Amino acid sequence: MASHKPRKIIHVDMDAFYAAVEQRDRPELRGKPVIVGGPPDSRGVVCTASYEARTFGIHSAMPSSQAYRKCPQGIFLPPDFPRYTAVSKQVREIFLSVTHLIEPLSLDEAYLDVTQNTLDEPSATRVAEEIRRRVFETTHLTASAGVAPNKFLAKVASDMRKPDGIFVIRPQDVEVFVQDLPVRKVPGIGRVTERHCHENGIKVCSDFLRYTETELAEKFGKAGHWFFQLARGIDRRPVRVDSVRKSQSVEDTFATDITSREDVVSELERLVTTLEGRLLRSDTRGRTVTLKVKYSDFTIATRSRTLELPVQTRDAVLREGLELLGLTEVGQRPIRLLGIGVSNLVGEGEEQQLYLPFD
Amino acid sequence: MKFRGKRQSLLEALTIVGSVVAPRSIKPILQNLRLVVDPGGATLLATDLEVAIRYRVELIEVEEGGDVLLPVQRLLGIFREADGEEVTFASDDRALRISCGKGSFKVLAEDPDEFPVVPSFDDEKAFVLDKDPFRLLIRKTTFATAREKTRYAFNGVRFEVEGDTARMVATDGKRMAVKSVGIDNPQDIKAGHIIPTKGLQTFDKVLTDSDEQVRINLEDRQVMIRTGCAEVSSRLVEGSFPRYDAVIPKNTVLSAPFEKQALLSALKQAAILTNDESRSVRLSFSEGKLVLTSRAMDVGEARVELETEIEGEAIDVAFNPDFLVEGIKVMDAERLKISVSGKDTPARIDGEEDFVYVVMPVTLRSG
Repeated sequence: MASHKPRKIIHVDMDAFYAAVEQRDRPELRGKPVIVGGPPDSRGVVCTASYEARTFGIHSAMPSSQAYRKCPQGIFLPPDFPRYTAVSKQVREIFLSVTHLIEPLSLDEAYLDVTQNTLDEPSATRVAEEIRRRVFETTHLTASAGVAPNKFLAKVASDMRKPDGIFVIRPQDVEVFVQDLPVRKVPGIGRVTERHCHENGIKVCSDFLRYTETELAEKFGKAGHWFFQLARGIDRRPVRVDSVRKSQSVEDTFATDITSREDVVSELERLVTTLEGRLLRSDTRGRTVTLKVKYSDFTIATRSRTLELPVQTRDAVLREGLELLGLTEVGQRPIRLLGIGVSNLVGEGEEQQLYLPFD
Repeated sequence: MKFRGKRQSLLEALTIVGSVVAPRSIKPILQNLRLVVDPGGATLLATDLEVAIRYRVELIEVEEGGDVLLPVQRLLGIFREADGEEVTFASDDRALRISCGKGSFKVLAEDPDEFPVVPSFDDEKAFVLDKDPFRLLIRKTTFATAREKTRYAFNGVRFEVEGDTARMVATDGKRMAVKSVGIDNPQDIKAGHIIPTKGLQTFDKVLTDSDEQVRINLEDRQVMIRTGCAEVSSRLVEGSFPRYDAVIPKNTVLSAPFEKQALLSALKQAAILTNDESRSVRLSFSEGKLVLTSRAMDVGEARVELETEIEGEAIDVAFNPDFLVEGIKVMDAERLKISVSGKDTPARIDGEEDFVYVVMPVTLRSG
């Protein structure tokens, strides 16, 4: 099934999407630090910060209270998902006019496989430029695009010339590009894995090449196989049409194992804050909350609970998470990893049972 | 301990008492019931720490009283499967020997001192309600509570007493049942408590036909009832119940009358062609008729038509058919009326006096 001809993948990412929609529709906000997300006096998080706000060091998933401290003059707006969804649909229509192989990641980003496309355009770069042009023409918003032979590189590429830019990694350039790519730029490598890499002398992707696949698997577990592939610029994952996200989760491995329950709780609070950001960005909520704990001896415990009402907000997820924590040996045994997620997602376009409008 | 009893009456008692015992309990001792035998008969006690029950059974003959803990599930098994009309119990060291028909069983007993205290009824503060209206309140509402863990208040039923009205309100957040009954309230009792679903279900089981009245005792943290043969206590749900009257629609855009059975039948037909992904039935009201349609991908579709005289504007609105059926089923009325307030606002169903059922529609989430 795998064809040896290189694929042409585009990752399109709308620039500061929610904030940009607000600035487009309210000219008085243009040029100002706009922060879409929870109010600063809440425990909410930043969904999107405008580029003006980013110069203050504000980024998505940051607690709104922290964003406020960094930029008190920032204009905090609650997210208006119906409006963002409407724009997202317009953008989707543009994608559809080019290819049906679309894998949306959220309202503001998607992978497109344009190996074949309705423009009959062999150059993926020109397809990407055409998409960006049509997006701007239709929505007056800018999008950045990454063009590459696979999803991993396309995603890395779209981040290279943001905002309103395009970056292309041609098949023959892959090897060189990957060589100097800092590991932190790799989707899926977070703070802890980055440190783990650095401890092993791995700073850029070519450093992975010094290890065999088995060695990497020993050091990094399952992710080791993935690192082995991506150091060679290989990512065979197809663009999945209609791939509906089944769950949304976050986890973190600690630099040193944690034993005290209080410390675990504060880590959980941090994770839940990030999770809320992701749920808000994808405009989904879920009915099942799952907590994952990896003890210092690498045994894993997962605890989950299915609720009547789907949850999305930090407080609701945290409440369940804390209860699930009580069903583990947290506090008695040291743990090295903590994760929390929601599944049974209810999202856009699905049939939705409405709830009585109680206060 | 040594006594003889009727198998049938012991089985009935065990079934009710056994329903209080949690199938999987953190405390293994709670898988037992406590059997206390005195010259007048037997008392069966069980608790899951939320609901507790004392159930009195008459015996044929008591030779010697006693007090033991016995595993409920095993005991139920014995009484269900054994034949014979009479059962004989006799202590045998730390065990109890049970003979029933052709079977004879030796069940190890545990020390009753370890068992939690099962509260007994305090008559002094009690008030009295007629059994039938109390049972109506329970049966017309309890089904609407949430089955899964959610807002605490949704796992119980609000019980209100005010003046000469007693009321129960139950909701799972998506539909709601409100039933009121008239009562004599000479003591001018006032109540506004949330009783857990399991507590009410247990109340319902012990409200037998032989009782005319039920005695109720409401305390800060628990509610207790006493009938002829049983005392049942239930912890109350902490937290506040949402303001239920605020979500009962007052202004509706459409209302339409139906024969209860015809509507139930139409809903059940339309529900056949639904599945987990597409659980809704669309109700299209127009001049002179209601058309119910359903469609489930890879399953098929259904269309059922009913005559009715609509009042108001034509409208399409979708519901989970189970919610409609469950509410309509408990209504004691031949005719009822559906009133719709919009595609994404509550609808109400009226029919039975002093009963209103409110349901939220299903929509396609759209951006």
